[in-house]
Amino acid sequence: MQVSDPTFIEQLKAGSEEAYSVLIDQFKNQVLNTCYRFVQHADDAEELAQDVFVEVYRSIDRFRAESQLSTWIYRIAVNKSLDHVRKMKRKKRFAIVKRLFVEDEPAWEPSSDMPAPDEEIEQNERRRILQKAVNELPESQRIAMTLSQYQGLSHKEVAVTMGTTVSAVESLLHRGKQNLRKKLENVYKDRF
Amino acid sequence: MGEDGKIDNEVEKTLACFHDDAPLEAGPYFTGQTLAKIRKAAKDEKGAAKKAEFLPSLRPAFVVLIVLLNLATGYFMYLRPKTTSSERDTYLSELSEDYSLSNVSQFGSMTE
Repeated sequence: MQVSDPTFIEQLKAGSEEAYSVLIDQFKNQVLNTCYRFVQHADDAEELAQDVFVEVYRSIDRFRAESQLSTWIYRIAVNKSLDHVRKMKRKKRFAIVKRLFVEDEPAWEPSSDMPAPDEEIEQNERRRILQKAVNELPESQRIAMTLSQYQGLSHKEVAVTMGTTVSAVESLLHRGKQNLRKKLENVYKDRF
Repeated sequence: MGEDGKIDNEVEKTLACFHDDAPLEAGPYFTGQTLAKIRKAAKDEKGAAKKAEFLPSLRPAFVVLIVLLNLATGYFMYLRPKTTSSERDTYLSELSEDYSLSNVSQFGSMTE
């Protein structure tokens, strides 16, 4: 069985476990990485990616073959990730308020058992700066940049995923890149 | 290289990170766990569907019950034949005899 089979969608709609197994194997890494780009936490991303496939199961009856199955799944992944990010932000705000009343807990620090070489440290720092800058972009620019730059989707695929036009996506990407460049310049101006 | 050149260079290197980041790989149990979640969702959906089918079938019975209650209330309030005064006197005298009361009939007549 293959995703490209004309009867594949029908089998998904019929609830065939084999079809879902094929679908998951085909898309799990793309969905996982899309979720990860938004939530920035590998375990959360994996949990979310699984929920994306459950959502596919729940709403497959509403899928019309007007768009590709992959872009439809991307759309679910983006929506679920954004919901998760919003929920996390609310939790964070609540935690800040809570910290005012409760004694300080020791902050979590990443383990540093294996010191990375200088070049790798620099590269990791650049990745962190880039991700932070992307996260600070307006939501639509952030979605477009993430899908296009990190996931390598074409402008058309991004447009279908976001439910907009190709020219709107091009405009979002153009403004996104400009904003990103400005943000990065400001970061490095402070450093040099 | 001037400061601006350094900044531009660093910005370019940072933007290049879009493409050099190693993608995540799903864990070995990902498919199995996801299928288990889908199975659970299917089971929950069936349960919910059964409930949704069962509850509407109770609706007519509930309506009939409410109508019957209303009819019974109406009957007892307005249609049920009222106790006549002779019947009431009979009850009172029987009561007074049973409980050896002397002025029940008087009390009964006072209430009328």
